[in-house]
Amino acid sequence: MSVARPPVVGAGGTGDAQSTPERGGPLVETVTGNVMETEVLRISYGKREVLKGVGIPIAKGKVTAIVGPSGCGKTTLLRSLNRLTDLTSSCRVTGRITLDGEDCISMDPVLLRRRVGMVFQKPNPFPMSIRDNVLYGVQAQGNRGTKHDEIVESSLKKAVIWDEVKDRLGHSALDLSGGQQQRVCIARTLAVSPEVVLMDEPAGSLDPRSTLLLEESIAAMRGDYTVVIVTHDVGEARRISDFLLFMYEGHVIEYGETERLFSDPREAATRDYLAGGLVTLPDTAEGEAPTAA
Amino acid sequence: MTEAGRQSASTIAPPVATVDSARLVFLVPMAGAIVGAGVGLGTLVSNDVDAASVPALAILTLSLLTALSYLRMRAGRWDRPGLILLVASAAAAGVLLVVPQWMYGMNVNGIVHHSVVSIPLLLLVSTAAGARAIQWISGASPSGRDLALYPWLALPVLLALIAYGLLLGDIVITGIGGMSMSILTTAYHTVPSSNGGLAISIGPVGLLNGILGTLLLTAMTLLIAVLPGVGAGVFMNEYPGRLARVVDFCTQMLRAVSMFVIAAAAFGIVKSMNGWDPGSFVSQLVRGSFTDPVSGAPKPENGSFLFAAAVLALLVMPVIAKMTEEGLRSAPRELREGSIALGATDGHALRRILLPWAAPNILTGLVIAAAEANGSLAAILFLEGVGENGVGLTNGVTSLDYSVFATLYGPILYAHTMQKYQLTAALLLLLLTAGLSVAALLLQRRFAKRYRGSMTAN
Repeated sequence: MSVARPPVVGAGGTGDAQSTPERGGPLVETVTGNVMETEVLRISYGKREVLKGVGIPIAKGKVTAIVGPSGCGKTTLLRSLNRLTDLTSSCRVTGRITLDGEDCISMDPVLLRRRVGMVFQKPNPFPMSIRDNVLYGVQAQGNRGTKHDEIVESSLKKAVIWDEVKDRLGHSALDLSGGQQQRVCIARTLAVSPEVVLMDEPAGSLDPRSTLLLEESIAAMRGDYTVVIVTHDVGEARRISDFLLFMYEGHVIEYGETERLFSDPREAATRDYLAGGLVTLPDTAEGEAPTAA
Repeated sequence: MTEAGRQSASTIAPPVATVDSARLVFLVPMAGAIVGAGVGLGTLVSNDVDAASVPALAILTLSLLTALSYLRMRAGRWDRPGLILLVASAAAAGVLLVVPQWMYGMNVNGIVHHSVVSIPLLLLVSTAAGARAIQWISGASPSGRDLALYPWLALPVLLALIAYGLLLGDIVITGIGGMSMSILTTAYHTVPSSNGGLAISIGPVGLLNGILGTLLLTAMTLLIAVLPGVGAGVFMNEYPGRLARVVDFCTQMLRAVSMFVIAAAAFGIVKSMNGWDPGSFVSQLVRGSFTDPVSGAPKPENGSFLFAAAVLALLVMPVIAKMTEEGLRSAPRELREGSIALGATDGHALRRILLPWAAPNILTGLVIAAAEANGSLAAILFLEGVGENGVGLTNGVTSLDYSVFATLYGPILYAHTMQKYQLTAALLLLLLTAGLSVAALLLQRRFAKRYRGSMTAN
């Protein structure tokens, strides 16, 4: 396992270096500081352990992509960041997740989810007008009427869909195409001004053109928001992410700056996966190459 | 079947489109079957079985014979199922011919009218003949076999429709006879005798009390039942667990309790208030009251609208709860997840997404509840009256179904004058319920379109 060799990225690495590799803590100190961190995160569904001790940083204001073959635990990791894992009764979480230093697991989940938003693989707009969709989270937090129009406009602009829908904000969001619905969902998530935006294979059900527009909006989010995106499309990860996290069977194999992982990966498994999607681990006795997602 | 060799290309493709005129002859047994069955049923009404059923079976047998002979000609052999049908119809004919004398008479105890045997036989044979005929017309292809199922599936439906039709027809025809504007707008009253004695006489006669009573009772029942019903449904859905299962069990058990048990309990409550002051608030709420025209003092009725509505609400609440729960459960998971991921509380999600989504189901539940309430005369049987003293929350409870009952078994004066309006009352009740259902159906479609958009669930 690559945990033994903690590469340090960013010479400036001062700040809070509370965790060390021995404790399964974050492997790196990033330049901008970490908005979220996990330590020794273990998650199991019933008897099946899906995450086996994961400790990663999420760099603030950057786009972090999580890649890996199916079943490696990347979606579980993502969903644990906003505690959607709570919805599954058989799910057991141990370890630590922090947001700006605060412990996420003991925090009120509603408050956590207002700071950590999520966009799902299949667009899930509510059966309401586009405007009501975007304002849903805002109204849920108690904002009855303040600045609603501005919020709607700015959120839809950030999601790169304002021009397409500005004349029909009152129409049902369900009448839009899949790609448009997904961008409305992004706008809806951004409207509550979260610190972190989680994305679970957001382009999974979209056509190439919608995917490009989606990537445009993700790129625009950089700086103001922190984005964590799970994707099985390695090319997309390369295009849009600053940091890359490669997982396999519940472990973190490698983490670092995206370009470095592509050009000079430290693990053979990383190189194999990023190149063609097949993974051969030296640990596995049979040298099996499971199919990638 | 080996008719495949004989089939022309035109019969292989669309089964029913083939109109080979020669094969039209197979419509004959089907027509004969329908005629035979209809006549058979008709004899039940006419009570003159001998005269009708023999020709009916004769038609059937002849038509089958014709078809089978034709088949023998074309295929070179007998159609075995057809042969069996022929034998069966001969047996049915035989039963009718042989048996009539000593099985005659519907009103005699212990002797069965032979139509009990022959009609079912006739129906079975006719359906089988019809199915066989369809199969032959469609060229004996696999799709033809499927089409041939249709008469079998249609038979029970047709029988039910005929039964309903006979019942409803009676109600409509007789009921309309008594219908008139004055009946609909006049409230039944009795008039105390002019010399101050005990005798009373009939005043105006009409069903207005019943109509208003039904409307008020239904509205009040729904009003009282909707909050606990929807609340229970929401509770069972949002907090699944032991308590929810207990609630579910209790609500279902409530439905199973015999209405007469509830009626007895309700009546017991009213009776226990025997010595109470009729003008007191509680007595008015529960028993209802009216002012005695002679003495001017308040007197208790048997049960007020409010109380009866409360009793009926108890009865129908489980339906509303169940429909609410199902509606909430049918909300797609991704909507809930989306709401949760935005940091909305469960309460907010309920208000903005889930309850609107469940609105069509809740509406259906209310309609079913209304229909059940109107049909559960038994639960308030001991409380009801004819509504002499008007219709209102603290007046004596009445409704159209009581009118239907009371015109035969109610107060003597009422039954004496209103007897001929019994079926009119029944017809009115039917129309009210039907109207309610239609209105609710339209409203439901509108809700589904508005709150679910194109995401139709289940």
